Amino acid sequence: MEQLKNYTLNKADELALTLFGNLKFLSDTLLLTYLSFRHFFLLFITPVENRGKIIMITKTIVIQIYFTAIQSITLVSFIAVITGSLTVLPISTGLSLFGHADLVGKILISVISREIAPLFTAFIIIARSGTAIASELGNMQVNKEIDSLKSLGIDYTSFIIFPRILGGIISMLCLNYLFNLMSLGGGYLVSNYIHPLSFGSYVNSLATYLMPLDILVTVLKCIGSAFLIFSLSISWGLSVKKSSHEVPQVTSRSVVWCLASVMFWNLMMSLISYVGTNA
Amino acid sequence: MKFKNLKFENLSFGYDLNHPILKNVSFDFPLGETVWIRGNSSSGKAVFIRLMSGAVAPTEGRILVNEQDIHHLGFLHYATILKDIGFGFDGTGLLVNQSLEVNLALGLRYHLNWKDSDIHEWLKTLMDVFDVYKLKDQRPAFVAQSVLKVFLLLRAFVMKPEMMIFVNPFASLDEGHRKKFIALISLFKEKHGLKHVFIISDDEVHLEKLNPMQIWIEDKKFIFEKERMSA
Repeated sequence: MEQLKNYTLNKADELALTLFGNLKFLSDTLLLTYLSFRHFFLLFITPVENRGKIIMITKTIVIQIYFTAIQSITLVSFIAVITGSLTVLPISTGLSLFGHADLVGKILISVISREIAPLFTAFIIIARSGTAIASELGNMQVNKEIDSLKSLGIDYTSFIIFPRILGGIISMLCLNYLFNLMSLGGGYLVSNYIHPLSFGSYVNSLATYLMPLDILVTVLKCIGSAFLIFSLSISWGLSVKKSSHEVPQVTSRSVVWCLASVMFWNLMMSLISYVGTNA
Repeated sequence: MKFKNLKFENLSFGYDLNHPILKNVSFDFPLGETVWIRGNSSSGKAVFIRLMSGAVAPTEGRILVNEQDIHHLGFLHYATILKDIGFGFDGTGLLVNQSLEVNLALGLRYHLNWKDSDIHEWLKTLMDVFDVYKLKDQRPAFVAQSVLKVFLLLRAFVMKPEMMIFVNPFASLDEGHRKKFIALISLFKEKHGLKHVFIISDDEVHLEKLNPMQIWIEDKKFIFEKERMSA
């Protein structure tokens, strides 16, 4: 803001400037993401001519899925089993004490599938992939790799941004499915060891209370969270100007923004779904 | 595409608004020549390649290629022009997480539907000129600066463009590679449709061999050598 240099700003002015700056950053991020999707789909107007571009972008999507989903399987499984155990154990014990063991499924679906799994999966992705992408793109900016791609006539929005966001969304959905499976399955095993519970009635209880709305809410949470994580991390990474000292700064800012936005998105989705169903 | 003209029209540029590097420049660049862009240290010589590659945009004015303002074309349209310009950057620009050969092949794979075997064969031909084929699988961080420089230069030739722009092409090269670079430019002019070459450099000894037309950047403006001498 060169023009503002000559003015004396008070605290309220600075706060307003920060707020508008953040809003501008968000709108720029959305615009960049929109452009990346638009430019990718434009390639399909002449798919034969753009075959090379489509192949390169598809390969990048696959690589992103490998880095985000495949390489996280062990970590997600480990955290999911512990989380499942910590959740299933008190719930099943408590409900059995009050003679409502049949409600285990309903509460676990509400707590693990709808709330914990999407949120924890998002946290794991922020920690692994969000930070990696922000620092990778930050370093690419410093090394002038993005400028170099542009000079080759390579559209970095469809080549760099789009595959990371789409690969991230697919990875998030897969990891969330894995988290549910491992936390509910692992939770049962631990719980069963301390407080015996028939596997049939456990699965039956889960199946009875799993509603299409639960799946819809979970899927929407995952897609929204992945979209926020990857588009914000990319945008922060690309905000690096010249120096490598900026890279750790934008990476930590990216993590803060991702955490805050993912939690807000999950809260909003939960509020809407619960208010909508009057549950 | 055929480059019919390249003009700067009332162009100003600066990283800092208060300190412009180029100011109100209107200049019709000569085409069909080897042009040597010269200037004192910090005169803004390298800005020319950054403006042309789309890395930065003018703060005022326009860059016209065939009478089209390239910064208002939109990237997808400008990319069709960029494909016909080979850029030889100095120092950085290769993707660090890819091998040197993959870096060279990027433009070919993205823009042209060549078979992998054809791409490999063409790149081998180019790499053999500088005897660097054996290093093709290395990543940029694992080779010497002189090898990196060779690959940065080679990337400009890969797409057989009609126009090439280089920054300090002779820096970091040994004498043998400098001669090979000059020979490669001549070869591309003869056989591969290279017509317009812009070289930003302070290396008088080697550039004289290309018999270039000289343009200076002085007082934030471009000026032909003849006009400069007469002034």
